[in-house]
Amino acid sequence: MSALDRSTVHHYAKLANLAFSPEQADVMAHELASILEYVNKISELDLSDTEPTFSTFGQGCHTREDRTEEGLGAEEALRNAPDKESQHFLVPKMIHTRELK
Amino acid sequence: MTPLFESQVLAQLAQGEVTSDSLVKTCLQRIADQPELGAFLEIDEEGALAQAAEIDRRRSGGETLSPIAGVPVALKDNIHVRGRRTTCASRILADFVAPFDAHVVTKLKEAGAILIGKTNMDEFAMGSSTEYSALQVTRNPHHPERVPGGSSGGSAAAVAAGLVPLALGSSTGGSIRQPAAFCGVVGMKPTYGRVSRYGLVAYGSSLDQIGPIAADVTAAFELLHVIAGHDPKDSTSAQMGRDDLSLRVADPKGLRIGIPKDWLGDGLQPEIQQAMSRLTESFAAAGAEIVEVALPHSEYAIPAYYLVATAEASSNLARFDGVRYGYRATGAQNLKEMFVKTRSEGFGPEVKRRILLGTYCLSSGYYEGYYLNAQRVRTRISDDYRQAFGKVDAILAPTTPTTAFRFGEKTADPWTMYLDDIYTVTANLAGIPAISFPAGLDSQGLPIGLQLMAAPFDESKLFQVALNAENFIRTWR
Repeated sequence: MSALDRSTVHHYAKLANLAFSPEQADVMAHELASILEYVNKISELDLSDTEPTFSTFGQGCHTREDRTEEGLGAEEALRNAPDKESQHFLVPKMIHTRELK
Repeated sequence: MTPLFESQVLAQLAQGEVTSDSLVKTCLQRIADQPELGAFLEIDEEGALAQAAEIDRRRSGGETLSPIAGVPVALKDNIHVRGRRTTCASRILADFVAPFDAHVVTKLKEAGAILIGKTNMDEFAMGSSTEYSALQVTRNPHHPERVPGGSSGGSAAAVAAGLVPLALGSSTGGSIRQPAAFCGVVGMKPTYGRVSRYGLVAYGSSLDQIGPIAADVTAAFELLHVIAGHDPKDSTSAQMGRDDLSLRVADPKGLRIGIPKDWLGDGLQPEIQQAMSRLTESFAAAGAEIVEVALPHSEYAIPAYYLVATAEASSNLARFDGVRYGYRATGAQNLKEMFVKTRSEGFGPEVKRRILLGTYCLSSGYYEGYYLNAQRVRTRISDDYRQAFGKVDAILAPTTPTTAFRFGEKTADPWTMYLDDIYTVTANLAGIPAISFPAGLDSQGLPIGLQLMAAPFDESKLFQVALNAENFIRTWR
């Protein structure tokens, strides 16, 4: 198992859109390493001939008929928005453009 | 302690001996009298009284109503009620107002249940003590220094303190049965697919189920019967309806009761072990056959559970990014920074820990060894149960290794808290129905919980045997 240190925590935190201070990352690394030690117990089993269970009882997923239904509507859908304008969600800018001369 | 509302209150309402208005007022008074319990996050006093008046009017007009019409039901705060807040006991959703009703809420409204309020829980249902609520502390009604269990701790405490007759919880790894056991009430996890999760905030989607919490087996059944059934809006909802569900009173003679002997060893509190023996003897004396069953993969259940549940959680909780709803951090310079700041400030430590673990075990290089192998362990656990239910009608087991623990006792080391789910997670992993019921008190006066498990979709058998168990235990008093 890979060693879990501060930098590993920062790497996975980045993937999960989370940030930790160096001190928090150390604590988290310690806790995760200890949890992984326990969960590694499953590696005792030879599971090569076992199919994974993604859904119990093989019901699978079923879909509804493709029929238009009344949705929330823009006003309702925007009601919880932290920031909005007319019919849009507002967010901080995501693309940094170079100033045009 | 205030006496609980047992199922007789349903009959009294139906027969007009009690009005819904008076029942709701009693509940509101009891809630107001016990603020230190911290079971509720929000009370809808006005709405509850208006609903009660409407039910009383309809009943006096001679209408035939559902057995739970006019009965106050508390909802765990991860279930949407249109126009009310759904916080999941998290900062990130502290001000979120649900724009639609969960399927179970639609069913409750149709049945005339009184939606009296929302209950506290571990943040996003991640925890076994309700200590991870970011909003408030909930105490065990039997002892103020003990946790109520979790994650549906508010719902269990509300029923156990006699604040409401019925409550809904949700279970991913034991979050209904464990708090029910700690608080001395009945808690039931239905078969995966039995109850729609539409409008339940998702945690581990291949495990989550909504289920009833009540003072007795009969009341829990009546609540399940209302919320069960197919819903086209949940793609995992079973196609079958709920017509097969019945509450049968039957002689236990000839029943085959399975006992997982390997579960009764080290780590089980002796008084819980004694309650197991006593109930087993009662079944045997009444003519039931006691059969030892092997569940050899149980020791891999907690590791498999924490891999599957956290992997699914890391994906499900990606939606909380401050764009469309919930908390948004201020001062971010760009979108990515806003995501990171929002999530880092909005989620509590246990949620972050699980998201991180889930992200790790889903990542390239670890997916096969962790996530996929955990799902394979799950197959083995389901196979164990399939074999067992070929030989027995139901399996009897402890719900928890100990009675309710103290605040802070298990928060220092996450794994010790996870181990509290040891007897409950297998039913979630295998998707089978299970019910926890009170089985006396330990020497400190804390409730002991035992559980029964049955084959998939055999809730009727499960409740039948649970009624037998409840009758035996009543003679213990």
